[in-house]
Amino acid sequence: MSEPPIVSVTGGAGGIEARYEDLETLARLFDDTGDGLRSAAWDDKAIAANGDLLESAVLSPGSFADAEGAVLGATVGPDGLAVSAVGFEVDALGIRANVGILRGVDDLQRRLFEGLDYLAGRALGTILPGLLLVGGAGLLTLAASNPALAALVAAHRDELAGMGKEELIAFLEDHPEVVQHLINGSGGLLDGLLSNVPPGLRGPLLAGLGLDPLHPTLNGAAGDLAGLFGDTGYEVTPGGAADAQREFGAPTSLADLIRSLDATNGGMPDATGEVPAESRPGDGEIDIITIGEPPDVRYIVNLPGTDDFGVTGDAVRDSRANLELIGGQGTAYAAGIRAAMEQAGIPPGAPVALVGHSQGGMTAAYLASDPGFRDAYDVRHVVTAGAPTAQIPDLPDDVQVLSLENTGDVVPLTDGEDNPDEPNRTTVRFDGATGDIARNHGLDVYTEGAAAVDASTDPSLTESLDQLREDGFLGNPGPTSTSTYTISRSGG
Amino acid sequence: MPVVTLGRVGPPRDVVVPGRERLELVEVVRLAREVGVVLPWRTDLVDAVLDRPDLRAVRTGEARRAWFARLGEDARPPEDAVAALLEEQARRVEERAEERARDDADAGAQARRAALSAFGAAEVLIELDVALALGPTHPDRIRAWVGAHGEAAVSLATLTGVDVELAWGAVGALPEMLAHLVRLPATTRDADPEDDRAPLGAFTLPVELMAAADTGERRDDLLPALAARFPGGSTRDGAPVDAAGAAALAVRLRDGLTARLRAVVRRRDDSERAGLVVWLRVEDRWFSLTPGRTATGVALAQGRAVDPRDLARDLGPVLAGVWGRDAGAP
Repeated sequence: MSEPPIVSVTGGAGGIEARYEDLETLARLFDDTGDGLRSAAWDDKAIAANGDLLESAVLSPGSFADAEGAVLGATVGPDGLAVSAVGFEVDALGIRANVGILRGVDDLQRRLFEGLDYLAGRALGTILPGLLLVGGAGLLTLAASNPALAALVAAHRDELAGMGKEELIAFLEDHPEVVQHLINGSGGLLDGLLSNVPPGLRGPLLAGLGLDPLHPTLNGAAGDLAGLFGDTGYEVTPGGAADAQREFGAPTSLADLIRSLDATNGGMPDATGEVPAESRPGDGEIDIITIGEPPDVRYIVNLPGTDDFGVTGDAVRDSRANLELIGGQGTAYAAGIRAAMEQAGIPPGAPVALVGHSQGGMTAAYLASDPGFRDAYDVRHVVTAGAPTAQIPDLPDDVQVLSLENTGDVVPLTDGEDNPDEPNRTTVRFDGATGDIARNHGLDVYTEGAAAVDASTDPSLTESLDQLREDGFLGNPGPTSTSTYTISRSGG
Repeated sequence: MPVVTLGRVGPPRDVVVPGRERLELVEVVRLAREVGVVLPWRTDLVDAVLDRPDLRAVRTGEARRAWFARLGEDARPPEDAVAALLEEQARRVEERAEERARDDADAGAQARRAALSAFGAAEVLIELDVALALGPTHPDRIRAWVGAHGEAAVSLATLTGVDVELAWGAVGALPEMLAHLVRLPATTRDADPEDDRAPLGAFTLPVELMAAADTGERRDDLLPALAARFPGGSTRDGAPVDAAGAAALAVRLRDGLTARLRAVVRRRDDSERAGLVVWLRVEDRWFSLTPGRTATGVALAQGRAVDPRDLARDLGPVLAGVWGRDAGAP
């Protein structure tokens, strides 16, 4: 007997109209059917062991064997009732599992909307500029409430009391343990925050604060994960939204390279430095810069952050219906980039440099680690700006990665100290904090950081830039041409 | 991996001196009122208490401890007990009004206000929701919110709602701030001498199987049959496991589950996009979950052992996705 298809409902509550009660009723129906059949099956098996048959076994071994075989075949054989019963019960379990997943997705969606409402609907706080600029006296005050820090600060009390801002910065840089103590103390949150509030009051108080419980269950976690199984289809179309095709010359420096990425991201500025409206790119655009003439050709692929893909919709659509949940995978973008490179006619084995900002940089590192992609193209360089790349643990030795990170940028949070020590991955951290968390992630700041790299005499950096030059990606005098492609999600 | 640190690229910056303080709920709500910040939880219970003129007298010393211990054992409805608890907090906050007025001038009080103000203005918000199953003596959840504004990152966290931890630091301190929030004590479960299984390092399981292992019915006998329908399970070395092995793995995850983390990333000016990081803690080890699919389309949960400090590493790519491509535009 072929097993009945399970009711597949995984994939997000947003597009599914199933009612949990109906599904659970279906599960009960399957379960009851299973119970009934299984009961009948065991009743039948009991027949196989009853006295009459045993008796017949003595008198007529052949007939007993036939009868036993027939009964057992009808109960536990491949198509027997017991197997059918298990099939139904497995279906019931599968349905219940999917209901659990759906409930998890719904709970997640509800919490997401609550959070978005909170962010969108609240009044702005009164900002007290500069108050986080705490002088030495402030540090002493803070230390007073932190025994772990008190001893250290006591040892430096006199010098701290008279410190100015720059000196305080220097002190904190010289004593990273201060930051460590203040942020982390001696352990985790549970070690320091548990109150002796009676357990019976914890739930009601949290409920009164509107903080619903999260359940420590596997199916709840499965529901969260199911929210990430979105559509990963993509479409690639030649051209972009700007009236005129962007054209880039061969970059002469790292700053030039990042500047061109900035233009792919935000549009080509005019002589005044502004980007005219008709030059602004649309969502999902990438640029492929061809440098040189056959057979000596290389390609730079500019990959901006791609977060506006496929969710802009039009005004009449409910933005809530369009909520896109991101898990950092970005596979649609990666697949679209490869398709665009194929459309651009980049020949197999051609030398390529992938240059990406934010999610674009993350995707560049991902592509460079993908054996299939490297079979198609000779990825020699990956240059990232404001992109977390530590999640890509393995990159081939012949791919040189140069990562620019602004210390004030929240996006490339990952800590280089934890990364594997690989000579082909160079991370540059520069202090480009602007006081604005959005600007800290901007490509204009990263262009300044790239200029600092150009000017640096650090051997790792000069070696990285030399390799970019030797491979013809920087300072190449050959002719260039640029083609633009637009990648969007499909099937959403 | 060579890491090169260059000097200052832009204009001089401010310095954010980190801090971490434990405050009572009523104090936080009152502070939020003062600086005009809306907190990410309902405050009407506290507001009602703060606005009452007839608060009871403060209990001190042993009398307070005894009252506190009795609070949860009274026959009164829980909501009345909660109200009494908040009243008591509010009364003590009032008692400290004079002290607080003096504090207004000190840098610590200013730092608290500034931290809360920065939280209220956060451009990006990370919400951590942790469900705990560490045993009856431990709390059963952690709720925390981490906001970033300017050069500062600020977190608010609570276990029971009674007390709130307010912490702040530079954005660069985020990895440690996040790790602090999910660093949990070791479990005290008795080791099973018969259990000679190697610690899990990584696993892959069909999502349906993972969910099915934890339905109310606990039909473990059916899991191998379900695993046969949804293949794709594997162990740390990537070697596929058979249906029985996948079922056993699912049961092991369920029985060893000590915590579940849901971290959501949002941006203030974007209502279309949110980021998500999902972790499970099995026994004393956290696992980061990511989605995957088999060649035949079976949805997979891929678990990878991580350290609390890896939370920032997992959130980095999500932040990159949530952050707008126009970020930084002048």
